[in-house]
Amino acid sequence: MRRRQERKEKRERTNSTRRERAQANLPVLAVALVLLTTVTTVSVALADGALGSADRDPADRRVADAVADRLVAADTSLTARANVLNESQLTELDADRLDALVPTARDAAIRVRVGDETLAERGRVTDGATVRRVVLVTNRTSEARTLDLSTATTTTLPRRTDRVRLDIQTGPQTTVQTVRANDRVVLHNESGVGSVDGASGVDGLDGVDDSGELSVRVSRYETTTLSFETAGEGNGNVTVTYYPARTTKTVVAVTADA
Amino acid sequence: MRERGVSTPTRERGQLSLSAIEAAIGVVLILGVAAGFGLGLPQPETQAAQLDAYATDATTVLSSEPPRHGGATRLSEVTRSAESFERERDALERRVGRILPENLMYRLQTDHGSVGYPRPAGVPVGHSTVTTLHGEVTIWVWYV
Repeated sequence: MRRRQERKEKRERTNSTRRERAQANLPVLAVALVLLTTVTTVSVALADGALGSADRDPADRRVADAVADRLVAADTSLTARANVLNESQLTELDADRLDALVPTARDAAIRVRVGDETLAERGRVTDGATVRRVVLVTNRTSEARTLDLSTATTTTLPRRTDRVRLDIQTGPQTTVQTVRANDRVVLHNESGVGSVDGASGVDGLDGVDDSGELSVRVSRYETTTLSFETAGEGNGNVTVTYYPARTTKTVVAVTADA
Repeated sequence: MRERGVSTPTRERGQLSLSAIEAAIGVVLILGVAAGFGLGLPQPETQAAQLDAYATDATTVLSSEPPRHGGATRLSEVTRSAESFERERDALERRVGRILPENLMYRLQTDHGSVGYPRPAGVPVGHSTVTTLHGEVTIWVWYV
């Protein structure tokens, strides 16, 4: 009897702390679940937005790369050699010529800028990828000088050029038999290099060109000295036309929005 | 009969609801993951490709330039011997500085020496190598 009483009192004492102990009950559980679900949904929305804004746009960069490569390639109508653009061809660049140059980029909007000005633009470019290349723009001018054969038979051109056009006027008793460029024979004909009875060019590339004038290719890496060998009295004159190039450096920026 | 939760308290003790603790831990974990997304994803590596294009352009332009005095091209003149490298070194540095855009720094290395700035570590660097008659010429470019 007494022990049962003691046990009951002990149970009451432990029972007495149970009322103040917080335990999981249904309303709090429901609120916690709702809160967790809300936070999870918001985080997933945030992550989706971050992933969407970090989209790398490979199509844009691919098209821009392809167009830039074609613009600076060595064998197009736009370039004189690799990374060197012809200024006269460059000023004529427009959307149609761009299409012909890069047929694979027809579906994309492209803008080509050289230096500070926009050369060609096709479509609306909002925000695509930009690829920049360093190029030289070359502008060929032509200059001429006349050599009097009775006073001198060699002349050194002051500017480097890659080809030379000769206009030989000799007296009736004089023929120019050999033309040398830097000690290399470029034109040779026993009856005169300008005569119509045979080809004068030594390597097949020089000689009378389509417009009926003599054209000689020389190296653009070194200064050219032309020397003429005449037979006969040695009077006459030669007008030498050479084409020095002036190059400026710019940056071509191609923006593509596929 | 025993009734649960009904008795006289011996002393007051404040305790937290277990559900609240669990919910708070869960929220903190999820917000930690979201913060990782919010801080930003890594940028795509476009800088290295653009720098490589710049370096290739520089070597292409240099390798087809006429020389200042003698030799086949400017690069072969520079790499021909140590004396010609020393002689042409300043002109080469000026020329490369003019070819490349203003926001780039470069280092050009030949068999006889180098011109340019020291190469940094930890930034994207583009490079290109071209072979001349007397050795290789390598250029590294990076953004300032």
